[in-house]
Amino acid sequence: MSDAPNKSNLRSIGMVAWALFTLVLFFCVLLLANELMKSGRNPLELAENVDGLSVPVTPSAPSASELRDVPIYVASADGRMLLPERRSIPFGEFTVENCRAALDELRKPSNTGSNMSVLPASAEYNALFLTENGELVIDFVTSSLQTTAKSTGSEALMVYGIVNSLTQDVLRAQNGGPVKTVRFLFGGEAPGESFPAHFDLSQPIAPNAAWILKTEATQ
Amino acid sequence: MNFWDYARVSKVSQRSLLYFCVGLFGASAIAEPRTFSARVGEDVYTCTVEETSVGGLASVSLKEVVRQLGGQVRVESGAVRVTLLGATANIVLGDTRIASTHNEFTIQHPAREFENEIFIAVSDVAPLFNYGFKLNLQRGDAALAPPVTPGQPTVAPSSVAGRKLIVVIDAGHGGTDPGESGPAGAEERTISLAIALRVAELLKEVCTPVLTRSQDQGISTRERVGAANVTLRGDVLVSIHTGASSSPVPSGFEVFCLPPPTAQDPRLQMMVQRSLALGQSIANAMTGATGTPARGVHQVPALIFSSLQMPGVIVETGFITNPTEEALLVNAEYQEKLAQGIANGVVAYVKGMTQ
Ligand SMILES: [Zn+2]
Repeated sequence: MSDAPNKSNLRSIGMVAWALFTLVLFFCVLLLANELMKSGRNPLELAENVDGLSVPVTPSAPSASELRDVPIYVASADGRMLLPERRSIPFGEFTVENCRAALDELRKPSNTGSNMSVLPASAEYNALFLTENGELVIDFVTSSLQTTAKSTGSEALMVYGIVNSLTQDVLRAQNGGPVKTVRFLFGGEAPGESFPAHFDLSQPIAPNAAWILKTEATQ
Repeated sequence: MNFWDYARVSKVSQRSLLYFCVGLFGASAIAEPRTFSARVGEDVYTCTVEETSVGGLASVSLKEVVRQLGGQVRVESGAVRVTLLGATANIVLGDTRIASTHNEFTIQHPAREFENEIFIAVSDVAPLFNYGFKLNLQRGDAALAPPVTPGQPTVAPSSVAGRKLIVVIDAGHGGTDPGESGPAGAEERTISLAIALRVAELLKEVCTPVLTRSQDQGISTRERVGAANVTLRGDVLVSIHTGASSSPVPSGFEVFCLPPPTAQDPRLQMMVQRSLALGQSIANAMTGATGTPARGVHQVPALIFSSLQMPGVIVETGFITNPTEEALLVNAEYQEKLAQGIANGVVAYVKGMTQ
């Protein structure tokens, strides 16, 4: 006599557990999609391209990328202007990956003996991500930039060297929109007065061609 | 006859076609007369040319300016050769670098060619003729007034609504913030203060100079701007610093002005315009005082400009990281030259404003 109600109760508990499990799973998927979008990836395109292990899971995981020559900017020997230098980077499927590769190149010494890289070799960053509205956020480790020269001119060269390099359309990949501006964070926070000491980085910075030396190569 | 054939035979249409094409790239041709004048000894040079917007930049015809000043322009395969007052300047189209008999220097915007005309930005006319031909060209007919003796600030009618102009002089860094230091140990805070004190002294008769600091004390940028805006109620601000680089090579002085306005606010636009005029005036006067051309006059979003309610400039007086220039920057005689250059630039700006 009591078998039927027991079975019914068990079925109800099972249904509730299943509903809860589905809900948790749904939230997990939402969180994952949100994280992917933060790092400049399109979760819908990823879903279409799923073919087992070939889909990269993190932005730093190398995709089946080719090497591609892209220009990055270095400071001229007299410290007045920016000059383009060609560097070979692994060109991936994600804009943010290409920006990461270009940013790594910006820390390396110039190809010529006299020109200067705009970032010191010691420069490190905690995070790099691309927002939906084309803002590339770089969170630098503040102490890693302590050796940088501090003046309005040198800070302008550093900032526009980075921004002019990373906003180039040539870095745009199939996943992630174009980089329109660059926002600088230091230790996860908006810049204070200690670094940079002169340049205002409270707002995202747009590229500025006025700092690029006009040569036949850049025209 | 197709459109292109018609354009080829009609001079008027060629011009229309040019403006149509130029318009596509953001240029338009709204003419406005611009006057420039200079005095060399007893001789007065003036020219009045039409201002044209090229690529959104207020420009004038270089050929016309040179012709009216009595010089010659020759254009050969992308290079422009200007001859005037026994000197020659070579300009490469699309390049900001200029080499003349007197100086090698850069202008802010490259010269451009449209339909056999060479256009140059209005803001670059004075620097081109001043560095390139030692002409001391000024906008307007200011040069027709009696000449100003270089090195001595003139007592000018420098007043705003019946009072003297308040010039805020800001010595960069100080206290626990030494700023940059040179290879021999010179500190930016000490150099900037020494020059700022001299500039204030030189401006005393002409304006009301006020200092954000008169001793070695630490003040935040926010405090400096607050003081300039509220406590000192300044009309203009001049912030004095030194330049720095990770290399010992760079040298020279440089001036930074307010960045282009982000909003269509006439008050902000006027502030930016005046900041550029002040910056250019200081750069010209410092060239006169030190005999060295300016590295440039740039617009940057600097921290000190972020909430400033007046036209302001930053003057980086020289590279403390260059051993030769570090020795100059701590030299009292050279500091005096720099201070005179800055003071003369402020005076020339004030004169321009009150005329
Ligand atoms: Zn400084």
